[in-house]
Amino acid sequence: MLKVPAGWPRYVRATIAFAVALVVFDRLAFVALERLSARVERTSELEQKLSGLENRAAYQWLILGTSRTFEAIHPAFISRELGVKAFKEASKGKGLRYGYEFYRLYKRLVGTPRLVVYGLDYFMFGMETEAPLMRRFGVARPEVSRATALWPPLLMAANKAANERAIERILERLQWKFASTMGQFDPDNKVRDMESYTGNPVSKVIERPEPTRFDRVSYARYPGLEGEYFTRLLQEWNADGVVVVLVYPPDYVATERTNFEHGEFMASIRQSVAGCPRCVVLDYDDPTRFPTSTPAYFRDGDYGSANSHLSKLGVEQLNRLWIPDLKRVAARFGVATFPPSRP
Amino acid sequence: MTFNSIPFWSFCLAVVSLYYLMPHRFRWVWLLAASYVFYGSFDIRILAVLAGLTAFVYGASRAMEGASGRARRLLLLANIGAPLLALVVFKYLSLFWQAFCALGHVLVGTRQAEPFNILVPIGISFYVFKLVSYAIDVYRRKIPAEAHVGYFALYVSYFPQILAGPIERAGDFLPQAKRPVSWKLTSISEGVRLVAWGLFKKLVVADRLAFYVGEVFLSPNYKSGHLLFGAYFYYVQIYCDFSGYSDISTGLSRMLGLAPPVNFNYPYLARSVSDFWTRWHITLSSWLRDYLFLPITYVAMRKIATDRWWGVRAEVWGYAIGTLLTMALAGLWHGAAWTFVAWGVLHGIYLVVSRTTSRARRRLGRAIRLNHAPRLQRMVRVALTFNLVSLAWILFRATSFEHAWTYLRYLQFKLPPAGMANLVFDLAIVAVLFGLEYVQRNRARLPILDRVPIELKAVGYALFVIAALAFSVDASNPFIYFRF
Repeated sequence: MLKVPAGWPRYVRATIAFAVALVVFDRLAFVALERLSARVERTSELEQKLSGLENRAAYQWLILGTSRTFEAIHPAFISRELGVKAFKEASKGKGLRYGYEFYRLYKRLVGTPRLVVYGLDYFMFGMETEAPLMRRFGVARPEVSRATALWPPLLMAANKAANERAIERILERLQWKFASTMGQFDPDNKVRDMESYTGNPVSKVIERPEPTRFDRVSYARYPGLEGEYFTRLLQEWNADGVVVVLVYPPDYVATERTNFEHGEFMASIRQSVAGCPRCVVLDYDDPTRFPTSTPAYFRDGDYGSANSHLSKLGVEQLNRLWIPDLKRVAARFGVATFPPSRP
Repeated sequence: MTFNSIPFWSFCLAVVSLYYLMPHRFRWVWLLAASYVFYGSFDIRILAVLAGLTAFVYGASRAMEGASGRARRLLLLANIGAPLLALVVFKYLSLFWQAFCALGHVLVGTRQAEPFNILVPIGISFYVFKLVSYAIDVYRRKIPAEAHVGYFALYVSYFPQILAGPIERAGDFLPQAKRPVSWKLTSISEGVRLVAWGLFKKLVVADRLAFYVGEVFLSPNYKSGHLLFGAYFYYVQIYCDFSGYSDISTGLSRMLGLAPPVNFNYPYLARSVSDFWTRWHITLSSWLRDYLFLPITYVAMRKIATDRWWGVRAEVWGYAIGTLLTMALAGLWHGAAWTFVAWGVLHGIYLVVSRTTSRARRRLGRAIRLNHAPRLQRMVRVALTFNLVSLAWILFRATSFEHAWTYLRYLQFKLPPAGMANLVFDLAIVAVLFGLEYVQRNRARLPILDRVPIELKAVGYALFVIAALAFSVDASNPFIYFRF
């Protein structure tokens, strides 16, 4: 049976020391990570990037969205086919809130765009913009204010996912600084590279028959976590008289099966923009128009995987549909004509 | 319920607490029930395979113990045949059927086969090896057949070991399981320390390196030095993944008052490939030695009646045949793919070449005066072995021979700027791992550590926990060896 070990007071002291040290180190690590993260995600960098644009007035179109948009919609083709310069700010973790804040910053530093392309995402209402990215707009994580509180006992555990992403972002920023000095191609951060990027040629898709069982995912319902920013964006765009093109890039067939409520999601989007006269919704996740079962057209996607991205080949295929549609929209609203209408 | 999940640790807390609270005579029931609940949590159907094989081997071994002559041999055959047949059916039938159809396709143009969609009981490779070793040990009269069906079932299904070993022998496990143990703080603290260390290896090192390795192996057709580091990091990843699991398993056993065998002994410090196999997955390599290599070599030597054959000594032939066959089967044991077989054969070739060139290498060492600098010699040997083993891991990790060939073809030393930050970060993590393992290895040479007050040690552990929490990976990656 259980016996009390000899020298138990030492063990009790050690346990107390462990618990106290754990909380102290936890707070210290949390604050250190916050500071470091805030330092690498400086607002000034984004401001410098936008203020430093050459021939700023020419950037009349703006592309916003997540990584799906980053891989699917390319300013290079828009410039080549329509003769319009477009600025793309789309990558992983940039949700609606980021789009909203960025749009306002863009208006302030570059000017109101005449057309905005927004890449739709099945999870856009339920997805939270990554906390480190929001620091670019001077928005800190709400958890910071709790850093000195006693609960939760371990902030590093309570904010595990956000901390992990913060470390990842720190590495990304370090890589970016390193790559800049080495002249590496970086379409996510360098304007010139963003403008010449035309897609990723690597396809990681493994073709396999449809399994009998795999996770199927409902779309994130409005308002979700960031749906209010979609409403705010629509209001801003309406007030600014901006032409809005909401695009859903194709999903790989296996991801289509996983995201089984695509039709309902698009219906909800169409309903949201029903009162917006300058909004157009374009859905390319349609196997009758785009060959969604061709693995080479996608970088990734699988049964049970709710996300997929186009490959470079897929982009070329999409362009055959998307560019003519875009030309029609631009002609209809007269937004592909220059010189610009603003100073 | 995996080892790196909260439900598993809640389960363990309940198992360990109640284990010590109940009288000794009921403990085996408790552990057996916990083991079956744990195993059944993956899929209730796989319990039937486990229970069926356990019952069969238990009964056949009991019968074998009382039998003699031909009947005894036949019972041995049945006793090892049944578990091995189950292993082949569940794990390899699809591979063999595909190979058979591919041969038919080449020879007479029949249709290529699709892989079977069959439920593979998790951990079957491990408990089948336990059953086989038990049957052979009973046959060899090294141990008596276990009379208590409950203890025998516990030996086969013991939850810390069922998914990925260590492959403990019945002769070691059963006496320990039957011995009454009382609660000891040292056992618990030693167990917790091992579990924490295992989780560190898994969540901080293996899962973090998995990102880098995954990216590199996914598209190896970009010539770069990252391919070189990808192979090195895969070595460290699989080491931390598997030895981390073994540490967790051992830690749990220690908490329950058991002392399972050591499964890893710093394999990256091996000075030769044969040394590597005495340090890597030790319970498997000793199993292979006792139940495959030695019998095969013995039979091969008996078949070669002369002292020399084609100018080579019979014992070298015996060693080569035994090693190559054993290693090929060891490769196949790891998975139903020919790349695993090739990995095993490559290790077999390393071992045979190492054995046949040992004299020449010693002469070379003397000629270049390397034997006068033993530390340098050791470093050269460790580096060479590390590279040879890393090279073989490429085959192990590749999805096909074509994939492995592409990897090797594009491998180069020049590092591009892309991915440098991650590389440096991962190198730092590996340096921390090796540094901490250096301290563990040389504890006897660092008496100052024993003089540190326990309160200060507790503060050090707290720092370790927070650092591990900060740098661990949140994604729940299954242990690599679970799929074997």
